[in-house]
Amino acid sequence: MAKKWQRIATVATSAVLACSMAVGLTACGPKQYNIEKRERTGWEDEKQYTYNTYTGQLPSVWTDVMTSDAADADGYGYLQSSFYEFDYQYDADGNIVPGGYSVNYSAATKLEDVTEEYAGKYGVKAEATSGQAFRITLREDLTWDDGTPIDAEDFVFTMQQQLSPKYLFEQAANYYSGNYIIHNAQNYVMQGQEGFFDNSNIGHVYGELAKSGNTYKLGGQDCYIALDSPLGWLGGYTFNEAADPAVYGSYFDQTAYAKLQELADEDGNVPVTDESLDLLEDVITYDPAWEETREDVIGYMYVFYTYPEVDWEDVGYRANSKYELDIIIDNTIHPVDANGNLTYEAAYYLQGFPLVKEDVWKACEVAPSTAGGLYTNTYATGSVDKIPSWGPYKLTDFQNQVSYTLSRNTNWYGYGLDQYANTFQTDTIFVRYIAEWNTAWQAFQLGELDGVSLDTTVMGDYRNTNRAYFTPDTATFCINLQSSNLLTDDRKGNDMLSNAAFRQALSLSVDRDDFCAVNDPSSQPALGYLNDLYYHDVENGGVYRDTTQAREALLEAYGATKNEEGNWVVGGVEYDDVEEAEASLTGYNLELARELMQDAYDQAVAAGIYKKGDKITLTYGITEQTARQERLKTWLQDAFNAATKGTDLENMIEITYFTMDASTWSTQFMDGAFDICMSAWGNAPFNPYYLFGASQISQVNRWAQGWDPASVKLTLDIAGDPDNNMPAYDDLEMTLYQWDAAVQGLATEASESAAPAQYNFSAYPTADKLAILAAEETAVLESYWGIPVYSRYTASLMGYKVEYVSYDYNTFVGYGGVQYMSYNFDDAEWKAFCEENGELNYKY
Amino acid sequence: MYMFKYILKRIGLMIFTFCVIMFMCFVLIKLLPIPISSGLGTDRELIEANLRARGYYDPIMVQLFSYLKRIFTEGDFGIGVNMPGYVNQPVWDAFVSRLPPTVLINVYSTIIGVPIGLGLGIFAALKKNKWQDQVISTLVMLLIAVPSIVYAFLIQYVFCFKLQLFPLMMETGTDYFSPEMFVSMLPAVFSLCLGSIAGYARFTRAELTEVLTSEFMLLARTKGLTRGQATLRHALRNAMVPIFPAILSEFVAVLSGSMIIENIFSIPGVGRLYLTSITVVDYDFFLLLSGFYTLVGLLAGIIVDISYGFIDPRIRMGAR
Repeated sequence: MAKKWQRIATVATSAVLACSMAVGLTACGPKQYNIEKRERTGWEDEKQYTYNTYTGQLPSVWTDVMTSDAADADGYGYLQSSFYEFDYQYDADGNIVPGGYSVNYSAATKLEDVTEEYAGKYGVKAEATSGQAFRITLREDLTWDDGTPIDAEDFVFTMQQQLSPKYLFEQAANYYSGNYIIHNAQNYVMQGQEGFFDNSNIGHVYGELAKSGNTYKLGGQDCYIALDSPLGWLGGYTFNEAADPAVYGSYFDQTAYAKLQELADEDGNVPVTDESLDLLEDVITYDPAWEETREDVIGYMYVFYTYPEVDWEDVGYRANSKYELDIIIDNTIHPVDANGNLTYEAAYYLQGFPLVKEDVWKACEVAPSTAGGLYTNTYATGSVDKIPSWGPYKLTDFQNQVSYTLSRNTNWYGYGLDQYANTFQTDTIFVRYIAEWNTAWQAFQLGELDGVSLDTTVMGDYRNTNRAYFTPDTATFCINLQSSNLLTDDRKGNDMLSNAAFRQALSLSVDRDDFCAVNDPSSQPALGYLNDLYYHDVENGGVYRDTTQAREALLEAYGATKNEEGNWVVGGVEYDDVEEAEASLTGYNLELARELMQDAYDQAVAAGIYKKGDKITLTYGITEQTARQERLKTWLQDAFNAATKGTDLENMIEITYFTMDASTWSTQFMDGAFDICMSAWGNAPFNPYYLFGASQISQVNRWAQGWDPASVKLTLDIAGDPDNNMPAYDDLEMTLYQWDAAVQGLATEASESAAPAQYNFSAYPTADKLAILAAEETAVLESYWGIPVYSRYTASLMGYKVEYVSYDYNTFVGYGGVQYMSYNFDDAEWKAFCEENGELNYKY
Repeated sequence: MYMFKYILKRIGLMIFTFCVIMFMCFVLIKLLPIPISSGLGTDRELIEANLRARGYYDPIMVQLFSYLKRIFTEGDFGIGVNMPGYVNQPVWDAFVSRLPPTVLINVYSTIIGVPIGLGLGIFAALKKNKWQDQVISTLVMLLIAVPSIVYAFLIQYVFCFKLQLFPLMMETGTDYFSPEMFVSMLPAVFSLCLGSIAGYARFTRAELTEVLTSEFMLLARTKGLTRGQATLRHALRNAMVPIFPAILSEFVAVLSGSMIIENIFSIPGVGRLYLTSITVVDYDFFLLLSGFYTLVGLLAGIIVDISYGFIDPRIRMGAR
């Protein structure tokens, strides 16, 4: 009896579940809507238009003074204005020119190069005539959302807070280590800081070394020989790292170095005594090729230093009058041309400076609880009253980790300007925090959101529909292989990574088309480190990737050859057009990969770093094990297995997970804690020279820490422009470090050790600079430590309610954003539409 | 008196345990590498100067002293440094602002789940081996076997998306006791309490079935009590001895928030905070949350132990 009821109960329960599933699976049939695309009416339209969107992370701090977080920038971007801004370029018929741009005035009315006014002051050389000092004339009707006027002194107050040593804001570095260097900004923020610093930064010379008792002082200050701290003299290496035979060790007297190490304390610091100086001299003068003498010992020292006090008046950021803001910089930029017209640099470099509302800022200041501690400031956090606006919208509601609402700031100057007529139709922007994509997807289908990103689970159904669009990104993702562990030799399993043939074989095993199809369907395969969003010549629309130099860089790096006729041969096929030749590249060649894999095996066995039958375990860094990561790992494993098939390394490669720390993963990777990571560098689309050098060559950011760009020498011909004081050079040979410094114009006297000072190619003809950048890219690609795989694109669906002005992505203004957004429905119409149609169909 | 001394002793031990745990937490989190953001345009020297001024490089015991001094003299639990959404904001304020949704959903879940679970359990026990019992047992088995994340997705898809009986997400705002807010919380509440209902029902049925077959129940019936009276006054009370602590434990467990449920229904609760504080190494958030959950856990232990005495007068602590 009981069993009978149990069966009945089971059947009944199953029926209930089946019904539930049926309800779930019964989707509405495909339905198309007759939606008329309306013209944009602009902010004057009296109907209500609300843009509903979502985010996976709400802003913490609504000002750029204290943060550089992308989520924060998304929020405070609406609350700020630009001095100069990018806009679309229009043809004679008023149509948008694809890829074009213009630069407009907005919160400023004028930009003047006033370098001559500051000649001889604020670090500007007496003979300087342009590029270092600029006067920004502000609009006189700038106000906060409550009507409080804004003038130049407000900007000066804000910058003083930004650079204040009582806060030591991390973002202060934006004003001395980014695209421009405000005079004395670093000295102002660092004033009073004391401790032991690398003497390469302080600049004491050998003659200042004086004996005091048993030890020496440098410039009258305590000093020590640093074995385990980064040294600018060694390009960022520590002495211990540089002394490794795999790096510069062959230049050093290893016996003397071992004795020096014995004198070091637990931090790797050696007191400067007669004995240690003699030993150090022995170490660095061992090989004449190292070209160092006893006087160079100070390059290996840290010295006690106190940053001197700096008067705010000496910082290159000041109000010249109530509405004139002067900025004086140590480097040169050209935001205005000889005719006084704005160049792209005005909107790129001088788009805006931080601004806080003084009374709110002061009210939010929190004094340190301990002597010598730092101030904090809760400005622009938490509640609406602490988050003022001087942009087109103001914050009217904010619930942390829930939502925020932005409403039109009627005190914004722009609503009275002709240039903003018929724009900013959106009255209200409502942003909801939604962590789970599935929730956002359902909300979008119910009309609660006006856009949604596409997940791989629905990509197939929606990627080719009318409302889908794809947003490119400057980030190019690479399979990065680590070499740092080769120095410590703590994991034997991956010693094979030191073999270039092995790495090249891994590179050739990557079928990028298949990778994207399986792992990231909206993205595009990439063979180079810089994608086609990078402009080498912004004014003329010159895209680096489209240049002959960049195309040939890839052809060369991926094994194409140039025949006697000057045609490129790719996979046995001859191309007389470099563009076609490059387009035929895939970077995927299993046959060659297997040959190289066998070569790598033979070399490794001969070198004694590999024994037949040993597993080659490569650790792949992840923050959490997700379905996507599992899919990616499986894909890599299959690709690497395919490369080993038929060789003595067949199936010997094994990829395992390494759980990396989300906040310090890059340091972990650079320290060699794991072997593989998928990561990308991006941004700086108008300065490919900087991005490439800073991300792929610089010791600070380069992933492959055990690889030394100084060991790679490039020989190039530089045509120059002798008529304009740019001499030509034939067969000029320099290291990668030096070429990078030269093309970026960093070869100053201060960094003479890194690049000869006479080679400054930053102002050289474009062809020369492109040739240098392309040669650098080829060289880095051919090291095979970073294997470019794909450029990220984000696939999204746009709701029926709103329209972008253009769905052709423009590097300068994107899709036009909220400013140019138009509406097919006002709020009331949309509500009615959604109620009538229920779950909306976007499958057409 | 015995009880009073027992409680005092337990509180003393609790404080000692709390201090030991917090000390370990403090030392262990401080032993982790200091997170220093790197990237283009950053100045490591400046970042280190900032951290040094904030005491990050001081000896751990010095940092501990500063931390305790700050709490006891100023009530300052610190400011978020790396916590997404709460950078530069007092951690105490952040925590307090996120506790109400978690507590409310937990309370609603308990209010709904306990009576239904107990009711089903009692009913199943009284109808042991009859069809009602089989249906309940099958449902219970099903609900226990399926993880709550599956209910959450199903409830959201069927009731919120397809049938549109509830909103997809929790309402915005802080008016937590408005009818709209209550309705918007229900999908999450149901997702949370379905598993609990099954657990309570199974536990209650098992305990009650055993008690109902005890000899004293026969005695109660022979004394002239009806079946209902005997069950309510004697069987249920005895069965509650192990059940009540289970309810309290469940309450405490859910108080820590369900990260997945909160994510699915966009509930601004504390579920993700603790894990994130460890991931991003935000010391002050981690220590406050560690302290809170440690305290809640320890207090719950005491309350559960004391509750035995109230549920069953035969149980007396410390009596000789």
